[in-house]
Amino acid sequence: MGVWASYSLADLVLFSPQAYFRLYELHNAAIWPLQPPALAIAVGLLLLIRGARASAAWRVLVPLAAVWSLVAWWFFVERYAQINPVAVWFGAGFALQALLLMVAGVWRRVRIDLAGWRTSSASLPGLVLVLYAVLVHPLGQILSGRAWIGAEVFGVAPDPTALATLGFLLMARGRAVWLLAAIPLLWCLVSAATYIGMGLHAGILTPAIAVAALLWSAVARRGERTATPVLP
Amino acid sequence: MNRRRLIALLAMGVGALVSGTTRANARQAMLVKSIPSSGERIPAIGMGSSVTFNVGDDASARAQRAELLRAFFRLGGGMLDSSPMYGSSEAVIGDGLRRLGRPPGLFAATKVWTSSGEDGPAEIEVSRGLWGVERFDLVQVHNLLAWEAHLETLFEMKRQGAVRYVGITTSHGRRHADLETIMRAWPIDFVQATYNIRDREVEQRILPLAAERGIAFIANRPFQRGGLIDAAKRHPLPAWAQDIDCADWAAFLLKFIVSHPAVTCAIPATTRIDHLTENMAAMHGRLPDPQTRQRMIDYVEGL
Repeated sequence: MGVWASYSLADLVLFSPQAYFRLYELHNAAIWPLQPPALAIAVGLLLLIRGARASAAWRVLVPLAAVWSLVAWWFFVERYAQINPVAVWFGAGFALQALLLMVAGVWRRVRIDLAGWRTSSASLPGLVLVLYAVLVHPLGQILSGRAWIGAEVFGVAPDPTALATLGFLLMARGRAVWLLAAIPLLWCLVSAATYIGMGLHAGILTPAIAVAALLWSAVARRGERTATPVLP
Repeated sequence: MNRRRLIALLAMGVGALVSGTTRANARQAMLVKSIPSSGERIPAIGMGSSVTFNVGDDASARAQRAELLRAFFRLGGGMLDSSPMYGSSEAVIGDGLRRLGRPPGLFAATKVWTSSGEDGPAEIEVSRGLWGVERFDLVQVHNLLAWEAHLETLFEMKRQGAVRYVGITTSHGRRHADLETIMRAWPIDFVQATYNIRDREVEQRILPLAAERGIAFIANRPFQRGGLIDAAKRHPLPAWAQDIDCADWAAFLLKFIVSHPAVTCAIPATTRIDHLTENMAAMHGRLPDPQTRQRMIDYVEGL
């Protein structure tokens, strides 16, 4: 334990920012043109649940499960593991999340209801987080100087996928929601640790955005319960 | 100084001031140092590969690293150090070496890095395949992981001629007490640890012990993974650096390291050929004497 405590994040991240960002460029080139359909899934899900009140959760959770399983295999195992052997375990975590989303979506005993963003003000933080993940996250990276071909896109790259999933979960109600949020939140921390290990402290933005959305959601839900105690 | 005295000094690792040409295409006499256990001389500046060679299947990056290796050997480089821990680095090195056609002068150094002693031989064999070498010049136990079992394996390999030298490594001042114990108890050829103008803990016990036991010393993290030289470059090089033929901070910092009598080789890492050229220039010209070394420390600590 004493020896491990002497290691810094920089000692554990054994690749450069250039190599890491280049991964996304190569990955995007390799799987093109899957990016537009992936983005269409995110936008389509937002439109699908805009007025939903309940019982449509599977329509969101099952496509999200598919997306997580694709990122698990194509990005982590096929791509990221080339420079980081631990990425195989990250991929296993994403595969587990895919399984959890699938089970939550199809197993009737798991009660998850959706509160559409047009009908529930408490779902607004979720909507904003999804839009951030799908639009602002990749655009911000390009504006900060990364090659546009290396943009991290929802459904293809892990960070926007995790953030958007958290956004959709913030529009859902039910005890299982927190279980489904655990791995996306954990990934946000792993992502930040990776960036900090590379000497890029801007990586803290990903978990910071997620936590801010969670706090906003908690406040909004409390306000909604006070006004109209409809959803559990 | 007669010939016998000169050879004795080299064998003790005090041959820092002795220059020689090891490569026909090396344009000037360069600093080489002796491996005490054999007397073999190797260039005092090698190259590390942690982070810098871990580029995966990126074809353009691999081609660039091959050119980096070409420049390294053209400038008289020898020791190339890697580890299975460094992701794709060994594969990328092997790719580069194949493009260069097995460059003469290569001193292939890797590590064994697995918590299972039984898995050591298989891991070393995988590394050998990735590098594409007939055998490694040096295999080191990485960060003392399962060191006892791996040292037994490595010494058996050395007896069979499957590896030429055996070593152990650590970094950032970790487990120096264990390092000392191994250096005293095992007939290792090399020890690798962090040494630079700011991290000088090894000067207290490890370097004297290496000299006493006839163990070659490899200095890793000579630039503190870039942090030291980046910080230094914000300040002017002292005028007296010309007296030891330092044209830039890279030469200044590396000459400090390799001028220590017990240091055999420093292994800076880089991805840039211009930085590599600066690093390799540290093998040329005058070296600092003990007084100048202290002056170098004082100057850097005053920045």
